[in-house]
Amino acid sequence: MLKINKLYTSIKNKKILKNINLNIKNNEIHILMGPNGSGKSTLSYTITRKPYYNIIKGDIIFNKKKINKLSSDKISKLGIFLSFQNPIEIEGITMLNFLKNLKKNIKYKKILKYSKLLKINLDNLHRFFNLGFSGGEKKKNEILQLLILKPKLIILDEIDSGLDIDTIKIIFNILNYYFLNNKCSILIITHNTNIINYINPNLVHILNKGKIIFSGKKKIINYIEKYGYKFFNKKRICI
Amino acid sequence: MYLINSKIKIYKNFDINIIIFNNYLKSIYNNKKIKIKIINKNKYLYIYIKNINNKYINIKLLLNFYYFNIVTFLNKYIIKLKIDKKINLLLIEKYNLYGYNLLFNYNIIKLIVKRKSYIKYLKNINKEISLMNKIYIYQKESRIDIYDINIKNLNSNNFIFIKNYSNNCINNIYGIYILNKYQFLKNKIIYFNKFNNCKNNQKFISILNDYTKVILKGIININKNTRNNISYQNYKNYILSNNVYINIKPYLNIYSNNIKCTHGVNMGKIDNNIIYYLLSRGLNILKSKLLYYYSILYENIKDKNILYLIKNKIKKKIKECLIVKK
Amino acid sequence: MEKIFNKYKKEKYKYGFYTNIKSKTLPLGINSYIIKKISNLKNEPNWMLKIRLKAYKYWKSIRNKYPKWANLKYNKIKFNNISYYSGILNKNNKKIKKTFNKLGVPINNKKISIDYVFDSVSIKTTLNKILKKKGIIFCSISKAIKKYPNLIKKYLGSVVPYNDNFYSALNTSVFSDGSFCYIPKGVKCPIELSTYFRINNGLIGQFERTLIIVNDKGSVSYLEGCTAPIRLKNQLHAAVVELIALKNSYIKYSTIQNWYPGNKNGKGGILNFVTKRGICGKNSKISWIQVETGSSVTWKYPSCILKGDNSIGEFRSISFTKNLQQIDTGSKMIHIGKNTSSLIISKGISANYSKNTYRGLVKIEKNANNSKNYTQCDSMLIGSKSSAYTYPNIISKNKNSIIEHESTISIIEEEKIFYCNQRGLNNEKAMSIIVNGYTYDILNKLPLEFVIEAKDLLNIEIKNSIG
Repeated sequence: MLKINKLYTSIKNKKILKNINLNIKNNEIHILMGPNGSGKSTLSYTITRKPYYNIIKGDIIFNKKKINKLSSDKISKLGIFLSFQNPIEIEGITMLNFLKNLKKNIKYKKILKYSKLLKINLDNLHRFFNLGFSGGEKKKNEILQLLILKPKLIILDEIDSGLDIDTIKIIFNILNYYFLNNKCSILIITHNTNIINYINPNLVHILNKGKIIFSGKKKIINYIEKYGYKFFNKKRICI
Repeated sequence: MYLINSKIKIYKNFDINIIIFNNYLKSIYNNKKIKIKIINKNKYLYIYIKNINNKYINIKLLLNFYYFNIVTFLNKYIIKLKIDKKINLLLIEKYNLYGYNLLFNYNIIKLIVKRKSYIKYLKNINKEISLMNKIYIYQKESRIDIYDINIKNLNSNNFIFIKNYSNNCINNIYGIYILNKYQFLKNKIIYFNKFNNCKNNQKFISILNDYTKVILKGIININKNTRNNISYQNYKNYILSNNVYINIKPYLNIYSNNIKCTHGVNMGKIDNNIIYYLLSRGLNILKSKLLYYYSILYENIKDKNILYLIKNKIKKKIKECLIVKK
Repeated sequence: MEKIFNKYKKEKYKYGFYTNIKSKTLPLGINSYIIKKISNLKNEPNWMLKIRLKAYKYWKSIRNKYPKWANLKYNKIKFNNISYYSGILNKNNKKIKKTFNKLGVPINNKKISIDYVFDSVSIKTTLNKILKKKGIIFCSISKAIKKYPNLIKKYLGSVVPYNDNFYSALNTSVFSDGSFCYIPKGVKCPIELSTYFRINNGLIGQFERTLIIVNDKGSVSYLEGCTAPIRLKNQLHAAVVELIALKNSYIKYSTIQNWYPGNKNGKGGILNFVTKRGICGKNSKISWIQVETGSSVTWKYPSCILKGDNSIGEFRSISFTKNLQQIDTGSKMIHIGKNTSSLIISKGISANYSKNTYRGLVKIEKNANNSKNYTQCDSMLIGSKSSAYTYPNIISKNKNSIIEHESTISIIEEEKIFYCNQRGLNNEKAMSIIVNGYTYDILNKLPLEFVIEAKDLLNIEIKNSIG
């Protein structure tokens, strides 16, 4: 579904990602882990083509289509969804109004149904978009938009940071349900090793200093937990 | 001449003493790390402070004006101060009056500041005179704090012009105006910016009583294609009498879309809750009001050196303002 | 981001068509003969002519001293190249009906009472029956001069005297038509009143005059809309609006101004010089709401004189400029009575090469005890070539009053645009969502019928300015 070939990127002439290769197939869940400042969020922004995140070299291919030069709204229309680490706030626009803008002919009943699924306080729908929402409410709002847009590739940037266990459970239950019932793939960017309790990844990648230094099965998360990321810096290990 | 010499004081805690008596100049300095070049010609004074070691040094400079039996309408003096790199300068202006004076003083001060210098300029008019001051500031990658304190002057007309000549300039203006009786103040501040990453912060607090008249004008100009500039302008005013006239004009001219810029004006009464709280702690009304106003003013004179110099004067003046004789 | 804004779409001003219709137009130029002729054409009583001539005499004396203090640049107006009157011959012409239908204000509208002003003449005032039952007078001002001379004599020029400023003097001497509204004691006007101004003729300057009087415990909501055809030459529009809110009354005056703004090179467009002022009696309230998107030059300061105790003045404004448009707008709040309060909220958005200025005056007089003012003026800049100015002026002479003034320059954060983009919304839509949010508090205060219209208007403006 998503294929990244020898990707080099920069922000304001500062090189960030170096030679990234990634292949996410249909119906796969991948996890991307790494220390702070390793370039995890940069990768998600590069895929969704945020301005100033320049591609120096390499290709990003989505469903056999090169998306290097597309604008981010077109990429979204192709079916790539990014859940932001820090969702923005917009004053003066209610949440409901914003959601109605996302998709034509979306029905109020459907929004209500999804909101109930996510256990969103229904009053929030009539409040201004994310304004004064708690961290958990903002993240739930992201998932609500996901359900409305029905994307094919979901990128979750730190979806679990700063949330309580109940909220994490709700979010991942819905994600798992969505994954089973729709043809889609998921890329999860996280710090949290506990994530294995909620979702079952096909592959785990470790990113450090702009390079993917290791890719492996689910169990390497245990090694991260035990020894930290330093463990993977030397190439002599094989698991 | 004898009289003059007996009155003139030289402050030893200042590195440089510049004394201007009517139009006669005397200067004394005692710091070996700097070199000073002084030219004095016909009411025009040029001072260049040079840093020899290329290390950061702290200097205190006192500009001391003495007036003795002067009766003129415009007594004009031009001072040009050039300051070298890496100098932390504390610049203080002082006025002394002797004999019978009737003058409208007109001083022009030009400050040219080079890179990595930090200047604190205390403009405290401590005598009851009429003044028209023009201050021009041209700076490069340095920081300048101006403490504009108007307490005693009768009639003052200030003009401050600030222009940046490079990126990363920092500029703060803190104004404290405590006026009563028939004091008059007109203040105009122009800030002109053509470069990036500059900060400009202007805060003015005024407490006005009796028949005072105040006109404050601040203009902020941010040029085209500049980036990451921060400009902040704030006026707080407390009016204690119905005969006060106050006019504030905070103007903004913005040509750049990459800027953080706000200005605010507050005109209001004192917060009765705080006064009530202080009263309940056993302070009397005068004392609690004094404390309250001082706490507001303190925001603008946080700097230790400055605070030490003018703390008592300000407290005294607030007291004078608050006690109304009927 | 820059790239997005630098692209232009072709100008689309929806109302830029011209109606070919027979009319009587006075020759170009201004002199006392022309003024007599205007008065004559309208069958005015002699006292009105005297007022006109007095104003003209004053204007003649200051003719070369037209005001230059505004932050606007435009070619000197040649007052002798303007025709001061153009009235159509047949008011029942079908073309007029068609024109107004095309403009989206059909003549058989049943919810709102509309006074249609076409060039210098009022065509028709609708729904008069409902109003008559309640004793409300709503008609064109020329009709009012003949029918209700006592009211006109008492109030015309009482808020904006002829010697108030350059354009009020000009307006008083040559004004042709406008609306008059009188709400009697204790009557709350059940429907929206509205006037629609249309400039059709190419040579004419429109000089409208509006007078609204609301008596004790009455209230009214009034809306003004304006359009003009596309022309390469500048056209002058100088209006005077006077509001009189007597005791315990309420006036809400909304404007949706959409005059032809000129093309993208700044050629043509209406020069809009308007003096609007209201006076508040005891316990009364006046609120101005304006959405300014048109005109190449706008000069407009709707003001309130808060004379009565406990009176309230409000001003809310959205001004959107693009291409080479210039707007200098704001408000004056003059507190005279006790316990008066005022509110100013101004939101300016400037795109492309345009200039957007806020100019305001808040004055608290000596005896205005416990008065309050809150001012908020925000500007938003789109693209790096536009500019924003704020020139507030705050004067206080009272110790018990509170003034708060805040203003910020905000930018559209790229982060927000990217977020909306990521959700599949294109730049245009993303911008319109953000701008809509930015102007939310003002749009919501408009009369319900016009909220959607104003929103659409803003969205079209955004479309045109980004492309």
